[in-house]
This record gives sequence, C-alpha cells and structure tokens, in this order.
Amino acid sequence: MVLVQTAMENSEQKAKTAETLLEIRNLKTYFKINGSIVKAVDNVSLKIINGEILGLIGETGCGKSVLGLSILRLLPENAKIEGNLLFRGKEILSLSKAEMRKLRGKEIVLIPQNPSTSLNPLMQIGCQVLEAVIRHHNLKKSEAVSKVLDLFSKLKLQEPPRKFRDFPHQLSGGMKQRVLMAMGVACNPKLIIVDEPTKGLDAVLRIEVVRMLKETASAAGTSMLLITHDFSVAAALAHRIAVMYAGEIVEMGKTAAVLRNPRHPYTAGLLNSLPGKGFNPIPGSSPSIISLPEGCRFHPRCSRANMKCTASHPELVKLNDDHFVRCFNVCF
Amino acid sequence: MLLYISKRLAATVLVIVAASMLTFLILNLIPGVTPIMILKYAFIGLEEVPNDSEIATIIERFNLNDPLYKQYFRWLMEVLGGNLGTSYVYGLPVSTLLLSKLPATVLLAATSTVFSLVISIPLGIVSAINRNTLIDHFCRLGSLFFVSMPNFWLGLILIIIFSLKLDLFPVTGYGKLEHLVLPCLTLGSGMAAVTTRVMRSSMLEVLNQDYIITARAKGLSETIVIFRHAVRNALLPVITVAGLQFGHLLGGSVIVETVFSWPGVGKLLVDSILARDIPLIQGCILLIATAYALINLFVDLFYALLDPKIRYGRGL
Amino acid sequence: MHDTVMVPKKFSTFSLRTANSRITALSALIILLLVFTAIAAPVIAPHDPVAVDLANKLKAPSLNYPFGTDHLGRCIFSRVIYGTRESLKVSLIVVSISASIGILLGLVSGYFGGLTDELIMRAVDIMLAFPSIILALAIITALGPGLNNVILALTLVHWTSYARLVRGEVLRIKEKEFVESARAMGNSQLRIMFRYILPNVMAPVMVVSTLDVAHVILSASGLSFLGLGAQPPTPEWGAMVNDGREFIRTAPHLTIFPGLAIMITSLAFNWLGDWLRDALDPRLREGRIE
Repeated sequence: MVLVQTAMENSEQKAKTAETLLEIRNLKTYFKINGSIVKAVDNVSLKIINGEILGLIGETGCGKSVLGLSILRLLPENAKIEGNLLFRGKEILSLSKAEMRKLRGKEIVLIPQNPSTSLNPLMQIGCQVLEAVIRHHNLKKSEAVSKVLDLFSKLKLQEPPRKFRDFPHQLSGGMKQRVLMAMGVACNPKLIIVDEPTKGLDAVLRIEVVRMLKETASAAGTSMLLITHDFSVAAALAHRIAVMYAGEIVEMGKTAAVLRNPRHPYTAGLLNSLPGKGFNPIPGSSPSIISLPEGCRFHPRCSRANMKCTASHPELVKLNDDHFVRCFNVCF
Repeated sequence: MLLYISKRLAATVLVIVAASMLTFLILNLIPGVTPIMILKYAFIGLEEVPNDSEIATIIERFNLNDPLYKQYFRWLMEVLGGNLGTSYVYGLPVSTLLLSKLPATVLLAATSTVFSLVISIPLGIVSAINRNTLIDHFCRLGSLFFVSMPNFWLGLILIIIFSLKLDLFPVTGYGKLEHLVLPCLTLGSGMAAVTTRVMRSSMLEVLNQDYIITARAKGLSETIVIFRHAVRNALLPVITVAGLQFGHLLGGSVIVETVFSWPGVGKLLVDSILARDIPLIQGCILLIATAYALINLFVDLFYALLDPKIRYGRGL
Repeated sequence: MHDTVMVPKKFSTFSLRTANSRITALSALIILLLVFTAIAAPVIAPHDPVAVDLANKLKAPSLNYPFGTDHLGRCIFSRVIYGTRESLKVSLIVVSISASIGILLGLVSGYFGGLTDELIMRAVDIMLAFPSIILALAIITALGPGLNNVILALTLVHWTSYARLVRGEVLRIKEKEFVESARAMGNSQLRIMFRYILPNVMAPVMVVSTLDVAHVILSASGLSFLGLGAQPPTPEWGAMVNDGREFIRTAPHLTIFPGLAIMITSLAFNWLGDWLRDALDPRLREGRIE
C-alpha cells in the first residue's frame, strides 16, 4: 500500500490556512461543433484551498484538460463556458480580456502537457521565460535575465547562460519540461495548473518531475491543480483527488480515503487496472462525449449497474466529511 | 551549416548544367529545321525557299552536322568562356543583348515581389485571425479571383481602366516610375493571391499549435502572441513558396513584358522565339533557369538562417 | 490539441456557410454549363465563328452581336462559345495524359524505390529547374507554334507535379497494415500497386487535377496570346485577346469578353478544386482539427 502511505504523508503536510483560493461552481464548458453541442465539462464543482494540491484524474477524453484551460479561459472561440469560477472571491468569467491577461502567467499559470510542442521553436528558451517575467514584473532587462538564469539553476538546468540561448530542438524532453516549469514558477503564482506533467516520460524522469513539482509547491505554498491520468503521480503529490468521467466528477475526497476506499466503481476499476494491482483494465472504452449514454454515464462499463443506472442519472452525494461520490450502488 | 551551404551550392550548379543540357537538347531536337530557319529569318526572308547550296553553307558555317553532344559541348565551352553566341537576327553577341535587357526584368521582378509580399502577408494574417468571418471570406474570394485571372488580360484591363479611361498611367514605356506601376500590379497581384492563401493556412496551422497556448497562458497580449510567436513561425513556409513563386514571376514576366512592351528578358525571349533566333532563345532560357536556381538557393539559405534547426546543424 | 475534444477554431455562422456552398454549387453549375456549351456550340452560337464580314467590323455589342464583332467582323459571342471547345479540349487532354503519366511514374518510383526512384526523381528535379511556362516555351520553339504542340508541351511539363505527389503518398501508404497484409496474402506487386495503393492516392490526385485544369487553361491561353498556340482563324480565347490588343483604344470589347471567359472558367475549376480538397482530403484541409 505504498500509494496510501504517501497519501497519508501528504495530508499531514496540508497547509494550515484553509482559505479558499479557487472555487468552481457548476462549471459547464460546451463546444459547438457542426451545429451540435458537445459537453466537455458538465456541471463540475470543486474547491482548491491555499497551498493545496488537487489531483484531477481521468482517462484521455474525459474533459480534465478542458477544465484546466477553462479556468484560464484559453479555449478556442467555439467554446462556451457557464457557471462560476471564483478566484480569491473574484469571478474570472466576468473579467475583461485585459484583466484576464494580468491574471494569466502571474496569479494562475499553466504548465502545458506536451513539452515537445509547447515551446516556440524559433525562440531562444531563455527569451520565452524572460517574456513572462518582464510581462508581470517591473524589472530591468538585466535583472529579469538574472532572475531567469537563477530559475534555471534552481531547476537544475546545467550551464544556465548557455541554456538561455538554446532553441527548443536542442533540449531533451525532460529539459523542456523544466523550462516550462521555470516559466510556471517565474512569477510566484498562487495557482499552478499542471497538465499531464508525466505523460510520455520514462520512469526516472517521472520521479524527477514529481519531486520538482513537490518542491515547488511546498517551497512557496503554491496551490496546484494537477491534471493527470496517473494515479501514482496523484498519490505522491495530491492532498485531495477528484476523479472525472465523461465530463463529470464521479468521486472526490482526501487522497488517502479515495485510494484506500474507492467508493465509485470507476475509481475502483481504475485502481485495479494499475500494474501493481493486477492490471485488470475496465472493460469497454470511455464514451464519446458527442453521444453520451442515458442514465449513469458509466453504466455500460460498470459491473454493478442495474435498471436504475440505465434509467436515471445519479447526483454527486456527500458520503462523509469530505468524500463525495456519484453512484447509486456505492462500493463499500 | 557550411556543409549545408556547399551541398546546396553543388546541387545548384548541377541543376544549372542539367537545365542547359535540356534546353540545348529541346531546341536542337529536330534536325534539318534549324538551318532553314536560320536562312529564312536571318538571310533570305520568310517567303523565300532556300536552295540546297545555301543550306549547305549554313550547315557548314554553324557546324550543324556534328552530333548533338559535340555541338552541346562546343556550346557549353563557349558559354563557360563567356560567349553565348551571336544572335541571328540582331547580329550582336547574345550576352550583350541579355545584359542590356536584364536590368528591366530585375526591376520589374523585384518590385512585383515586394509589392506582392507587402499585400499578401498582412492579408493572410488578417484573414487567419478573423477566420470564417466576412473579412476572411472576402480575402479568400479575392485571392481566388486573382489566381484565376490570366495576367495578360489583367494587364490589358488595367491599361483600359487606368491608361485609356482615367489617363493616370502611360500605356507602355520604360524609364520612369509611372511606367512601372501597371506592369508591377499585373505581375504582383497573381503572386500576392497565392501567397495570401499560403500565409493564411500557415497562420491557421500555427495558431493551433501548443506553443501559442503557452504564450497566451503567460498573459501576453494578443498582439505579441500573434506577431512574436505566430507570424514568425507562419512565415517559414511562406518563404519557400515565395521562392517558387519567383519562378512563376519570371515565367509571368514573359507575358507581362509583352503586354506592356517592357524592354526585358521576357519580351526578348518571346521576340526571339517568334523569330526563331536559336542562340538568343538559348541564352534567354539559360539566364532565366540560372536566375531561378540562384533564387531558390538564396531562399533555402535564408530559410536555414531563420530556422534554428538547420542553422545549428541538425535536421540536414 | 488537448486530450479531449476535437475542436475547430471557430464555427462559421450559418449564412456564411451556405454562401460558401452556394458558390461551390455555382462553380459546379458553371462547369456543367461550359461542357454543355462546348458540345452544343453550333446550336448556341448565333453566327459562324470564322465567317469574315468586313462590313460589320469592330461593332459594339448589340442584340445581333451580343459581344460585338472583331476586326474582321466576326461575331465575338460565337467565337467565345466555340472557344469553350478549344479550352476544355486542351485542358482535359493535358490534365488526363499528364496525370496518367505522373501517377504511373510516381507509383513506380514510390513503390520500387532504389535506382528507378532516383532516376525518375532526378528527371523531375531537372524539369522543375525551369519555371514551367519557360520550359513549355522551349518545347514549342522546337515543335513550332500550334495548339497541338501547346498540348504536347504542357503535357511534358505538367506530369512532374503528379509524379511527386503520388510518390509521396505511395511512400506513406505502402507502410500501412493493409498493404502488408495484402503482401502477406501473396498478391502480385502489380496487383498491390493498382488494387491496394492506387485507390488510396486518388483523392489528392483528384484535388490537384481539378486545380490543374484551371492552371492549364491559363497557360494555354497565355501561349496562344503570345501567338504560339492556336493559329488564326481558330476561335481560341487567348488568341482572341491578342487580336483585340491592337484595337484596345477603340474597341475594348474585343479584349474584355474572351478574357472574362478564361477567368470564369478557371475560377470555377479553382473553386471546385478548393472545395474538393476540403471534402476529399482531410489532411490537406486548412486549419485542420487535431
């Protein structure tokens, strides 16, 4: 039960100040595609408090990345966002474009999911980080440059002055990930949205990235929304976990509780599909969000499904203190 | 980088040599025609029927009985020595004629290129940023119109409107800025139309890239995102296309120079084709092929300079 | 894009979308109309396109002569109608022959690779060392002026783009599983090339050849304009524009109408080609969604 142990440790480190940083209420992100409406994020509510790391877990296509981009309002123009996004009490959705830009990169940053394609190939990487620093700080160029070099050495990028002038194609995947992280922490943000930080990395690099994220978060007390499909990464970092399926949150609770007693059949299935737990994948594949099943969205793949599950759609109910689940036949 | 340059340079030389060979081959493909043509156009007149002794004289004088490869090598050696032969019609060295016509063509081609890039790059950007809006549809329809327009006809229409009806520019002529306007518009608009389309789709492609989201996530203003991040990346394919377009421009100059009686290499080529002045035709075509090859060389080198992947020795 | 939905950048509003498809329908209609005109030219044309009538020369458009008459008193409307035949004939012959040659060489080049590929591609490189119209000019110089020689010259120039395109597609497709399995099942090389690979390269070839029709119409009329293509009295649009040049001050209709015919024809093919590209070949689609 390594996962649970690390999760327990996380909970102890949890920040004392339980002030809400980000509150998402009934968030709906829809896309209009060829006249039909696609619900990528459907009625999601969650909270992130100061210093907390919330792990958002789900399979590819469940809407977790769209949720992350919705917070920054970085979606293409055919996306429609409804609901409330309260950041430090202020409604993000009613900010003007200019106010939004002040928020991005300073208060809320994104560490994007594909390091290999997320850096501008024609620009020295130092300049790409520098850009963010200069945008949000009133620094002279030389000061900003030394700040970037400082960040590079903190993130263990060798020979910072040389790296500064390198172009993305000259860096390895791990180094690019670090550059993106440097970009993320450059302006001491309140909230970091990390999108699939370990996707496509080998085991060694994965551990390295997790360590860096942990250091970053604990050093500055920064909150994080950790978007991942990898339970072990979430277990190592997150205080709480939210499991997403087909645009909805199906289970949410303290990391240890969710890992030890997964209440939703989907969470249980995901945990059972981990290599350490026997590698039993959930039958079927996640539904296309263009044509969702009636009733509970998971019922076609669920071993516990009954008539009720096919007929009506379950609500997210509170089981205890801090544990929510969206299921008629909760596992115990 | 140095290796890359020398490779490209060697390839360019090879292409030019191959082009000269092909030109020579095509123009001397049909035996027996050349001496009669030389006679008719340069000596006895079109209506006359040459007699055998005249033909024999010509064949002897121009060594036309040698096998083609011998003629080619003799010609190539002469060319390498700077002698492109003598025009049958003008009786002047081909090189002299070409040099006297070259400035006009360079002037026209250069101004048309500049004109088309100045028009097309901003239009492509605006069109892409406002994708599927009225502006975009207008730009796309407009560029399709100009792509589809025969340039000789466009030139004549511009003459009808701006010279004959409005009396703004002279019909033909060379030497003053006002003479340049209509030929440059005619030649540049087609190229602008193609480049606008390429710039637009290149921009759309780039705007879909992850690094644009990264740039926006930094809180950069949309202007900076577009110009510092998107446009620079979108320009790379446009540069290659602009190089190819320059070839069409050289081809197009043949027609446009004829329409406007512009004293350039293109008009010289058409006149020499109509007169079957073989040495002059060869010279013109060789010059155009060489210019085309050199332009493509420069475009590639310029591209390498802009793309760090090539500049730093990877990828090629 | 991101791991979730496939999203176009922006969705077009309803009215613009229909406007777009209306123009596509219009361009298809124009092409049908052109084909009909070419076939039924003798029925549609009010006058003999080559009948000289010096008493009626350089007449402005009227009811009897909808587009006016030229310097020899010939009915321009009838000549434009008959010109459809020449333009469609030239472009269809050039495109179909050069596409066939190009497809065949591209298939062979891409499928067999090695020396064959090297030879074919170097030949293509040399052809592409010239701006295409210059090469066509050289060939016409050797062959002499005339519409048939224009067809030959343009065919010799145009196959290269098909060869390149098809070769690239073949290289991509021949690694696919269905080709592997066809090979494993013991199909002959020829059968694999023509039954398995060829159908899969046809979509981009269709797109390129439709756009190429427009290109050939422009090139051929350009050569005729220079006096190297159709010879008098053949009613060919480019040659008609050339005839009109001399009278541009007094009778611009000689120039305007045949040129307009060239433009409308090539515009219709260009638009249809663009639309085909969107419909047939998702990989070529602009601003594609991924």
